[in-house]
Amino acid sequence: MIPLLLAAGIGGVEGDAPGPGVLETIWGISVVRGLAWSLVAALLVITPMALFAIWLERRLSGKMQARIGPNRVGPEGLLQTLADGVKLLGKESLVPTQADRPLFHAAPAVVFMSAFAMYAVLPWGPDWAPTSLAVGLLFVLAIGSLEAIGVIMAGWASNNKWALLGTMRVAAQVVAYEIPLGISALVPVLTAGTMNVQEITAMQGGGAWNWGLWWAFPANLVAFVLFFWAALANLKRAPFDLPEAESELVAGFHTEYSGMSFSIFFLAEYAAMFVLSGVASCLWLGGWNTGIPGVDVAGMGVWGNLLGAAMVAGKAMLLVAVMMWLRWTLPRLRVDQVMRLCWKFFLPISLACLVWAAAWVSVVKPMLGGNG
Amino acid sequence: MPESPVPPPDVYVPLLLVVLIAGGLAAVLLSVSTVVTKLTMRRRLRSPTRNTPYECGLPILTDARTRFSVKFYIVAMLFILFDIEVVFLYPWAVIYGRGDSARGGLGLGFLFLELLVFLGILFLGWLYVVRKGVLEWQAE
Amino acid sequence: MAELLGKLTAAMGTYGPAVLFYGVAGLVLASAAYAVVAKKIDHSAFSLMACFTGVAALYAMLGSDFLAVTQVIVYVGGIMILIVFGVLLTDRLPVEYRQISRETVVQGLAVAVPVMAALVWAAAGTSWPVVAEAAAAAAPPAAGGTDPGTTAAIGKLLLTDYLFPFEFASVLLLVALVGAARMARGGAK
Repeated sequence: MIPLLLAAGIGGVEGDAPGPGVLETIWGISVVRGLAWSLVAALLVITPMALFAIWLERRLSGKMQARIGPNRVGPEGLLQTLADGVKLLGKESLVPTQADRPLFHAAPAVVFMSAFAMYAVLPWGPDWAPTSLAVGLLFVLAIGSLEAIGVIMAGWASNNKWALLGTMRVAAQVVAYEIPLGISALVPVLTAGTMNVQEITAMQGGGAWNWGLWWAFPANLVAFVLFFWAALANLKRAPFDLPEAESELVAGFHTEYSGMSFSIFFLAEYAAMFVLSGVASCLWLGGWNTGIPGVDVAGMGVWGNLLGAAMVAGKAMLLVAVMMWLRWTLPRLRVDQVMRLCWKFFLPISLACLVWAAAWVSVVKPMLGGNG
Repeated sequence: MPESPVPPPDVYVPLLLVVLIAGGLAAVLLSVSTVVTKLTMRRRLRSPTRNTPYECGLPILTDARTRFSVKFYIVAMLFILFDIEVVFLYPWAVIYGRGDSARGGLGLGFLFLELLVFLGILFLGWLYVVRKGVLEWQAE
Repeated sequence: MAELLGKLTAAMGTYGPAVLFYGVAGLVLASAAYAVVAKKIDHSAFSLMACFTGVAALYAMLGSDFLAVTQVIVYVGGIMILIVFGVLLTDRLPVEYRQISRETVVQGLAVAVPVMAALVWAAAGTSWPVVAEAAAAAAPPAAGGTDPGTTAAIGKLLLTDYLFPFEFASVLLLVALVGAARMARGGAK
């Protein structure tokens, strides 16, 4: 691995370009275009999505508890989160005296950047994907572990007992559930033959019965459910919210964070919720496909892409809403239950899905003759 | 452009930019917040107890970083082992799901057999770990 | 304005990759160096994380996308968490633990120099277009995307030329699993 870096890194970057100018121009143009796109994405898509998710959480929680929830700022209280953000700008960020200052300040940024980085592989339409990374799905998993490191950094740097206890739970839980998450995501990869999220989405055109959910039945259906639950654990959402169990650990890893640094964690959490739901919807729920035969987003130009983006956002928000619904439905699990569920149920079931899907590809798929 | 070691820029540049912009956004929010707090607070409260770590109102006696149960370490070890397995399975899955031409002469049956051998050996390990009770969080 | 933008674009194209490479390489070297000299063990650990991530970025810049994500998943996700847990399990570690003496430097060099030599030797003895050839040999992706990536090529090699190491890896993991289980439970009893 490292020799490759030594030799090819130095030799590869400076020379070997196919014809002078061409590659350089592509690089330059793509930097400028990428910059514009990413700015638009970060400011107009990712942040509003996270803000909307926070509003949705508060309104839904209100509805489920037979109260109203925030409804004053803006229509239906939609601007409440923005108002809160502005208010939090004026709140002082305290740093405990015993904290490790550099790590304490770096942690929110690491978490925030990881949550945003995952959006790079989420396709919004047939032509609208920030990047079409060939290892897209593995990239999401990789960034997920990077985010966990940011959380550990926060808890460790705080030097607070509650934060540290929460951190240990986060680390163990996120790490354990990364396995079923990875294996259940393998099932659509296996049936599609690619890890590129955009390509997997493109294969689910036509009616809703072509969605990934029904591939290699029932392997992908089960894998979707497993992925969703493992994602819940990864996101530290109820019923896996014991890392920040307020009744025992105050607030978990972000106990010591206040003001803007706290709200950055908060924003990152909801951004991650949305993007993981988005990835799940692209793998199994057709992504930007409408699911209505005849309404093919791919052939409709800009409007098709817009419709596709609405589909992705809608499906992802639906999954986010389910996460919120589960929060007020299920009691919190104990640590030993969380671990047992992962290693003894999720892991073998996801492996069984994998084997079943593999058998389906080699036996049933050739008989159908189609591309699944 | 697989023939060139320089990566296709369309793939990685937006990725890098998203990360940088996220970092920039976080930095801007934090610094604006710092400036706003500096300007709006009439008097900075200073007292030794104000910046102590959150506790139940008692003075902090010990460092929070005490020793932890070895169980966490075992979970991390198991994770690495299974994680490497998952990573190995991804190239296999990509090859497996492609059309016959893309598979380059490798038969599906053969690939399936390879999966079964690979998973079978690991299943034995999983069984051993389960039988040993390593995954029992409460068992001491 | 358009002219300026064009010039800017051209400049980015010419210098962009090199700037990126040297920037990331600098980050890797700096974080690796800081991991060695940091006074606090946790700073070393998180600096190592930055180093691992930077190395992954270098892999990605070389077109080894699969290697890059694997690097992050295994090293940043796994090994880092193991290191953090290891630190927490260590008995009352003094915060300022680092003592660099003549002996530690000699010991460190005794390990580092042979490893470095082996790496340089291995790098010098490999014909580097092998990666690009493997990627080019891989079939185009199903939907005809722009970036085929190296995963399929790696998969093909794993399942043909390197089939034995591939299956042996699972045996190795099995041994490691059994070892971990023994250490966790057997040792305690």
